[in-house]
Amino acid sequence: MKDNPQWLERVIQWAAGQEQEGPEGPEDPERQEFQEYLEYIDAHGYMEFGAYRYMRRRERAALGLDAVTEAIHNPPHQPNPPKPQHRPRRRPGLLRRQLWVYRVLSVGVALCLAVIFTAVALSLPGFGETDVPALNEVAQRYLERGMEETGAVNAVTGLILEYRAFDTFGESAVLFAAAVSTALLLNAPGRRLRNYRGPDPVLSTLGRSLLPVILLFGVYVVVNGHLSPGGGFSGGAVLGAGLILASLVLGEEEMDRLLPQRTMSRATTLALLAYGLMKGYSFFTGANHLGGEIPKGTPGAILSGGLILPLNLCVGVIVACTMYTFYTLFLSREE
Amino acid sequence: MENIPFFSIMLPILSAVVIPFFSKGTWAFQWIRGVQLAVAAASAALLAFLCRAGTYVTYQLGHVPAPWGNQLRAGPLEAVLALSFSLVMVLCLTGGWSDLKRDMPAHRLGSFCLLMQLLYAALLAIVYTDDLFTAYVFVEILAVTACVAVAAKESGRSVVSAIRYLIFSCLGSGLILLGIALLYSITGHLLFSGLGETVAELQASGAYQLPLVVSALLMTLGLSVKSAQVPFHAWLPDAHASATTAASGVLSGLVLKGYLVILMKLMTRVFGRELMVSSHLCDLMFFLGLGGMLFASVSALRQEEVKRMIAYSSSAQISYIFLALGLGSTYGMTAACFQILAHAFTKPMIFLGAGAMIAETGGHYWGELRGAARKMPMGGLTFTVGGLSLCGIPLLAGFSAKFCLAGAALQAGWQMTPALFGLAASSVLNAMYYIPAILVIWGRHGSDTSPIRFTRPAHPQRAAALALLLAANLLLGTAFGPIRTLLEQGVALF
Repeated sequence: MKDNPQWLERVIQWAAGQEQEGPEGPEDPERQEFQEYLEYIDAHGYMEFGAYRYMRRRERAALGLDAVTEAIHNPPHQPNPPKPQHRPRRRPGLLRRQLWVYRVLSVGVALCLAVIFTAVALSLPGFGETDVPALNEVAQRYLERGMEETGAVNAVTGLILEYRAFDTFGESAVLFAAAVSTALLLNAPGRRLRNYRGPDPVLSTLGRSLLPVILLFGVYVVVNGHLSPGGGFSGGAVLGAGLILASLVLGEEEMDRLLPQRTMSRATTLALLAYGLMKGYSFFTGANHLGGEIPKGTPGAILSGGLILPLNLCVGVIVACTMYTFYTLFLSREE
Repeated sequence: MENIPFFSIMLPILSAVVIPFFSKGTWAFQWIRGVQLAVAAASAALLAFLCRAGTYVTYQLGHVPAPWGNQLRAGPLEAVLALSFSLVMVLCLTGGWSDLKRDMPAHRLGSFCLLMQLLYAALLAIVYTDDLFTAYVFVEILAVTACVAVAAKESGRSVVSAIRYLIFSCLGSGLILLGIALLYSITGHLLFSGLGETVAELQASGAYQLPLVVSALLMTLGLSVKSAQVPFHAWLPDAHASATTAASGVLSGLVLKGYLVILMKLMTRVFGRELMVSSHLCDLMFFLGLGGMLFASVSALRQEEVKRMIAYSSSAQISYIFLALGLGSTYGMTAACFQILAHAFTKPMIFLGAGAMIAETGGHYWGELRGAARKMPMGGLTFTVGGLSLCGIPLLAGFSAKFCLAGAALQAGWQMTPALFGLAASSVLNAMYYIPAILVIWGRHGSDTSPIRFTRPAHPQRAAALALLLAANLLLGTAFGPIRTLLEQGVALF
């Protein structure tokens, strides 16, 4: 072991689960607690939520740092607490001793994947090669007839909102599902915004002058999605960032008054509904060959591209509202 | 008729989107159930139409035809899957509604119904889609909504298991996406038929074999992570055991199957059986299935908590499907489809029956459930029938599925002996954990001598749902011939 260079020594120690002494080493009380937590999981056979916090709180109570008012894990109003049905399997320290197996295995798997992916990447067709099966009639028609068929100068927008609009509808539904899920988990009546902070003076001064520009730019990117690079997703992200900045600049209380949670969720819902109905009409008429095409207008004009402009607006609203909703929900806390 | 697949995806999504305007959870519940029943009726009509016509229909989404735009495709197999998924969904929600109201605060019920409806829409979209990327988008919806369905109960354990589920699910999605990216970069197609043609050309010319095989491998692995095939099943037991009853039934009966439908589509329409067999991916699936059948059943033997045991048994049943697909033949495919149907109807029934007994006695462990079936005969009866069905007692759905699988194994080559051995061993193992469980729930508790209580059920909806699931199980077990013929026709047109 002595001949090994220092780095090799450290790698071996790391793989064996023995950390260097120091702030990250076993002296660190947090780390010690985490190890105990691992053993707790190990002894009980499954991970238990809050066990770690509960242990820490108990220890702090033992040191007299703060009184345990309520147990996190066992709600106090249970008339007869459930009896443990099975003895905890006692194998203290097993997980810690076996930690090195996981580490060695993970390095092995990562190396294996790296080799495979390098080999695959080397055998893929090179950039710009013309004699490959991937260059087929699909991409050709998108590029050659895209403007004529969708009315959008920006081929990407034409692709996602006309040729493959169903996928984009699915993507919007993913965002909607994510927003609803977060709201379901975090938005309880008992929760409210944490103590309102006043706006920071420096941020406020700078932000007030930046805010209109950012919001205007967001609107521009959304509205011009069919003409220039951009569209609902990117413009919506800019708008969402602008709304978050507005909340920091104007203060959360003011924003909560201007744009309450309810309005945001209504806006998301209506936008997705509008998308579904507009595109549903287009799918239905297209599939049954009923005509009913929306006039495409002159490519390059702002009012062109058929349904693409309103669809971009819907997607922009969904993205912006989802981002802002996430921000406000993660700000709030349980009382 | 051709419009039915489109409307059965669009209606659930749009009906889910309007739920925030409802002020009461109960209305949302009735609303989504109504939509699901309507879709089920439409799917039945579509099935009758397609069987009579003996063909499949494609549906062009939008004004641009298929390789450029999106497309749906519906054959008899898709219609059968859509019909049975709709029925199971309705029955799960109906049967689990009383538990749902107990497990969840009232203000959450509306959102929960919304997410369940999105999950349902995603399942239908996966069944009907003819496009790889559309399938991926809806896999994402399925992943988000299924995780939240676990977390929504918000006991500490369900949150932890939902986080674990989320991590596994993201890993699976990542692998699938990587596979799609590789495949797209060598073929330039996303439509299944276009992909299939290009893959066949590539295989004939021998070019890009490594990326092709690696992408097939990545997608197979990703889908098996998501459907809890055994070495990747660590997320499943806690997630299914800690969720609310309806969510457990839906997750185990339907969500796992959605990923398998994609796998079947990839096998038949994109890579083709020859590539799957020659690159040994079929063998991989076969051995994954064989190991899973035995390992998951042995793990189930060790569980002291009823829902964890059922969850492990789900993983074992999924392994049957992998084994059947791993045979790499049409018979194997039919057997896999039969197993999908049988399990989709059986497992929610067992979960609902166990949920009813848990609600009656308040205990999750065997010790607390002693004599539970005497207090809740309907729950006990369905648990018993479901357990016996999974052990392979004739006239029940599980037997038919196993019979189909054994028939497929007899047609196979070297796989015959291990497959038959696995089937026999896993049936014995199933019996080893289901029969003691059945004895426990029907046994007497201590000196309790009270007779079995046959009263009017406290929750008539749950009793009705259980009875219907029971009837479906018996139907799958007895009407074996016609259903198998139907599935064979469907597989031929898949």
